[in-house]
Amino acid sequence: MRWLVIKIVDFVIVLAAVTLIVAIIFTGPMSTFYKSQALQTVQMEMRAQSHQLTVAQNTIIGIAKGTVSPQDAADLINKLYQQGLLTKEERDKLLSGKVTVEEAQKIATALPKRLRAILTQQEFHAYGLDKPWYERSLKYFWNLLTFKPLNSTVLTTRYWPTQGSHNALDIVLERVPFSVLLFTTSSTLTVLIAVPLALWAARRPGSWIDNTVVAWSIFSVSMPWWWLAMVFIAFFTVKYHIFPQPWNVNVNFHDIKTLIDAAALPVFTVTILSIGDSAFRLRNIFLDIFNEDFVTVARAKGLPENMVLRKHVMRAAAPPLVTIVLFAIVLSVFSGAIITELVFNWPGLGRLYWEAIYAGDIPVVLELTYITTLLYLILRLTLDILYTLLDPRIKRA
Amino acid sequence: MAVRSTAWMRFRLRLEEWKESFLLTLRPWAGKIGWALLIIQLVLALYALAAYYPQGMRHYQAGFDWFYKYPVHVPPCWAVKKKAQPVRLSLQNVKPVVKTKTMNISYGNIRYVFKYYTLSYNKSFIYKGDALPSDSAMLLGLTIPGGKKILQAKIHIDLLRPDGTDFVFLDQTIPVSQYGNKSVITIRIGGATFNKTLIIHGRPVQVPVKMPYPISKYPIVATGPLSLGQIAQTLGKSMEKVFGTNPFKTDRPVPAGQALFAEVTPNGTVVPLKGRYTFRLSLMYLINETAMTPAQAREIESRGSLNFYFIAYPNCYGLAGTDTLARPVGLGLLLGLPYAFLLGFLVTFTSTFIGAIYGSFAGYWKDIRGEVMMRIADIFLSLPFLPILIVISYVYKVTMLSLAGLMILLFWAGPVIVVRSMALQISEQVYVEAAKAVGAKTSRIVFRHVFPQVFPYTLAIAVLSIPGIIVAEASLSLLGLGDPTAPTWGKLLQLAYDEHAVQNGWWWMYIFPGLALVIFSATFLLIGRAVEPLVAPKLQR
Amino acid sequence: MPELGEKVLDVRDLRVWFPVRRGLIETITGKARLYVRAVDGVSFDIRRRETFCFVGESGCGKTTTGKALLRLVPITGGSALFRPSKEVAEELEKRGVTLGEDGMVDIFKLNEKQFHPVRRDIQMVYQDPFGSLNPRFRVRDILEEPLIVHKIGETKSERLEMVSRALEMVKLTPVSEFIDRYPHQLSGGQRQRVAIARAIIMNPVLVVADEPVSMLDVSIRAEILEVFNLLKERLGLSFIYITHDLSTARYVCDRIAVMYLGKIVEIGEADDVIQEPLHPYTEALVAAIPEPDPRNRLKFRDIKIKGEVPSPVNIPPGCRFHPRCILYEEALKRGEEWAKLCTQAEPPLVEIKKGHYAACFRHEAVRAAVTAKAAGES
Repeated sequence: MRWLVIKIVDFVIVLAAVTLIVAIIFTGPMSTFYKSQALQTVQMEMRAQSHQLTVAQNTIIGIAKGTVSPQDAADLINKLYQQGLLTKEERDKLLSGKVTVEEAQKIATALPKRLRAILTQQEFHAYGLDKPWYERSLKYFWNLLTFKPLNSTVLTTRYWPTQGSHNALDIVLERVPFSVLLFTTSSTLTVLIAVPLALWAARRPGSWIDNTVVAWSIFSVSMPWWWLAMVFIAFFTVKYHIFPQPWNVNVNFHDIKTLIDAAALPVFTVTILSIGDSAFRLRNIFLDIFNEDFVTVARAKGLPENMVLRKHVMRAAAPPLVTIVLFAIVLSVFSGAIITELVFNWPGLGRLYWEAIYAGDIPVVLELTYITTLLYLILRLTLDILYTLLDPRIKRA
Repeated sequence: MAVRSTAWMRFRLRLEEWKESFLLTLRPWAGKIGWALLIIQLVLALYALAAYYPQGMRHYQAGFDWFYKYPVHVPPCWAVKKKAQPVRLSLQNVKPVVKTKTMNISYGNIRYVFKYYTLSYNKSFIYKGDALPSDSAMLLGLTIPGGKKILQAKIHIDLLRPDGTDFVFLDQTIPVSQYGNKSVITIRIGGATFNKTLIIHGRPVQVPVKMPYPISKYPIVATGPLSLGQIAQTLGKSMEKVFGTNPFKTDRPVPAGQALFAEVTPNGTVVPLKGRYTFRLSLMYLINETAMTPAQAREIESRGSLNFYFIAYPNCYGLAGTDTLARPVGLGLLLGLPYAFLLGFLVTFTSTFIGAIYGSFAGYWKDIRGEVMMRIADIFLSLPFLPILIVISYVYKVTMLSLAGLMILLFWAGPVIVVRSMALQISEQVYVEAAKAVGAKTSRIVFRHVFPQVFPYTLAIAVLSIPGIIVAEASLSLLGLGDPTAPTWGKLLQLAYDEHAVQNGWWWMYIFPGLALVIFSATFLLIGRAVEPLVAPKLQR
Repeated sequence: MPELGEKVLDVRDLRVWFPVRRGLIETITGKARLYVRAVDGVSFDIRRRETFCFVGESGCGKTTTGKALLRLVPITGGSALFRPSKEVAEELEKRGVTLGEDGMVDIFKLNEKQFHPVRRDIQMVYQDPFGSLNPRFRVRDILEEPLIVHKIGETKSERLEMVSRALEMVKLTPVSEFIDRYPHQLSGGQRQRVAIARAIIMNPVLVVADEPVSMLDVSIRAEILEVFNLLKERLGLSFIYITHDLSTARYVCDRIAVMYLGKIVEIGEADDVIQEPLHPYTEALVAAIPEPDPRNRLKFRDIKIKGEVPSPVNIPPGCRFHPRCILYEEALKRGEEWAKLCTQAEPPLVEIKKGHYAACFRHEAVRAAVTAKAAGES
């Protein structure tokens, strides 16, 4: 039992540490940046309200000088009070009209300062900047670990029936179907194609099919996915209008036909690319097994090739095969390729990352990171436990 | 007894070993291709450094005179069947024909002597191109000696075409400065529209949209008394007479820079008009002769006051075309090479080196220290790399070196797990125990016994992880987040993405940088895969 | 037999117990911690120019005893008085260690830093000449390493001089031919010579040789053993020679200690032990020596042993050899009184003849010692 407890403790430690680091990185440096952005917004807002401010100042001084009657200005004074620009005593004084010119001037000069303070406070609150960053990161960290809902600062749900929700988890989860449609489909396709391809290549090492698999694996690993996406878009949608052009399509889940049309090219591209790496890795696994003594013995004792494959090769290849397949398919649910999705104009989790970073929506970035990490670690833990239970060679130490 | 074993002999021995292992990597086809590609690229990178470092590199990213030298977003020449004929024409050596006309005017009892000077410059060329030029540009640097003596100046430029039609560029009176200032006028005609903020000498300059684009030898955007709109109006009007449409007003069926050489056939296609073209430029001054010294009069007659260039750009350039900033893409590929080497080598070798040493220690210490070290490495391996890179380079402006440092910080844990399992095996070896028995310290055992065994394999890991680094940098650049001064391939791809090269069909802008990236990465994958079997440990399953 | 000098090492009651990992639930429920008792109370002494052999089956703790002297395994208890050489003694005094009156020091009581100089004086030669040399080191690097670690020899050429001298000592000549070779360019015998050269390069007092010839071809063994003898003569070394092979032990050893399950069951002069073994286990080992005479190949040999070695975690009570002892079985059948002691008390090592100790209740002296002890306790 000891090994199991150790593994679970490990899992918790790594999850907590990753969450903490990410929370610190995403709140610490980002906050200075968004603070300056917030201050810029305040500046613009001040400029926009400068006229009303002047009117208010003139009115206040007018009351003191007696050029404006307090009754006429009552509405304005009350509004300023409600905005928090005047204190209660000041309001009462102004409304009664018993105010000296010096006092009025003092109030008038204080108005812009108060307005700036109020706007800054509002703006900081909107970005969640009104507390020091370490306090916020710790709060985010704890809320994430305990699965408390985080409120997004900018982004809202757009694709769900309940549009406009500020729950970060909702914002993340509403993109999952898009990711599933793109990445789970292509992972499944990849597995379906790559396994027979790898087996074929491994049985005849050095043949043209083997060389093709090796060469394509090199190319697919060395190119950025989004680059091939650009090339395919240019070829398949601009030059030949086989697929719809991504920038002309607005995907949502109401229009299934458009959705599938739009998903076709991304799925095709991602599948083609991920086949390279998977097929190569599987080929190496198969190749190793073909060179094992027990396969040679099985062949030597005259087993038909089919039997050798089924009984010996596949059984030995099963653990790594299951790992690759499980990892590919399960992780694809929460996976996103930030730039590939940008290029394809695909509203998956990858693009959400960029949208959230761009908008400064720290809670959404954190929630997204947390969920993906959690899923990855859970999967790793599960496989680890399964192997320890199933494989007689691994010591449970 | 002294042993004869000089350093040179030992070095020769080492060299022999290296040569042997190098030849082994040459055996598979992957190794042959990989090494060949590496050598070619290294030579090119060294050439790029020697020829362009550092001004050329900075200039490629921030330079502003590309428009003057190269056409804007033209495809590579091998992809173009019908080629245009580039024209470069200057009036520098043309002797003007000077005509004068004197007028005597009495005004009350004051007598004035006015003089009309007309300086005419003509130059012809023959256009034989099979296609229209991609664009045309005109540079007019006109220096008028100011002062009270010159009462009026007038300029007329037109292009006489083979079919007898006449395109008037300018027919304008130029206001003369009373204080003797010089006037410099620069003009570009054509379809190159631009909407971008460029950094020129450290300052952002907003370049006008949908206007004939001004260029200059000097880093000055068109100064002088002439508004560019006037040129567009004049030329547009005379073009309207020929084609029936004004290329400046309509949705540009033919850009104006191409329309100079265009002819519309009866069936509506636009073809180049071949034959003799003549540029005619005349300057007219009205001068108060009475107030003028003879030297000043001569200055006006001299042709030093005028610089005129006309350029018709080719419709293709080089092997890789040019981008929307008129920069040759091929040069960009060359300049990106040293940066790819720098970033790839620095990041992968440093981080795998750190990871290898770390993993060696973690494997050697079988107690709680090793366990803690592995947990730390595990945490680093589970971090989401790209989002962190994006966030940090989004908030802080990164340079190439700080980006490399950041990547090292994120990627050092990559080889730790494999290295640790190797180190575990090695530290079980008897010779490690023998070293311990002799009294060697932990650091000595790790660095002299464990690490050297691990090192060749980590080299292979480093080489194999170069593509990931290069792709990560390109991804950052595509979002506009990399080092803004470094002309990396990612930057070229970013320009292509930002300028919608895919939609516009400017394939050379993204195909070639991407290919360069693929070839560069593939080189190391090929070498790495050739080296790997030689150094891979036989880990127990 | 060479003349024996003063004691260089006196080990008393050495114990090396490795803890067995407990499960979590076992820890919580407070189950007693179990130990693998690899070495369980071993006492012996070694004199200068002496070759002291440990003989026993694999797993009996003889290698662990050897490693314990170099503190390569955690030591559970016991003491080991060691007489360091002059240089090391000076170095030890610098580190605040005072030697005893007889110039001996308990090396198990030193901390790691204080023990470091002592490593110069105790060296080890390993069984596997292929594993004990780093394949990436040249011969010179291998031999230079101890010198560097202990900062002996100021310059590289000085160290090189020492390296070549050591190589000459083990007869790897011409030195220039071997000094730049890698281990894989050497034969097994040559490698073992390099390993021996590494052990003697710092002029040690004691060399622990852990089955140094068992992995070599039979034809080379004699040469290597000859090297050992030569070194003993020339350098005045003491050897601890660990082997499972009594036939070679006979030619190399001055004294033999037979170990069984972490305990010495018999110590004595080599010839005495082999010709008249006093312990049934030794008898069994001697009987198992292959006879070189082919005429005897069909002769029935009486092997006085049965079963397998028990696990060192669950050591049998009483005499730890009794479950396998045919003598005990027979004595039990005969109904002899002393056989009961075998399951009740651990037999102490008692001198039966001069210089010949054994731990078996068949000897009256051993029985007497146990009863005396029991009486003393009660």
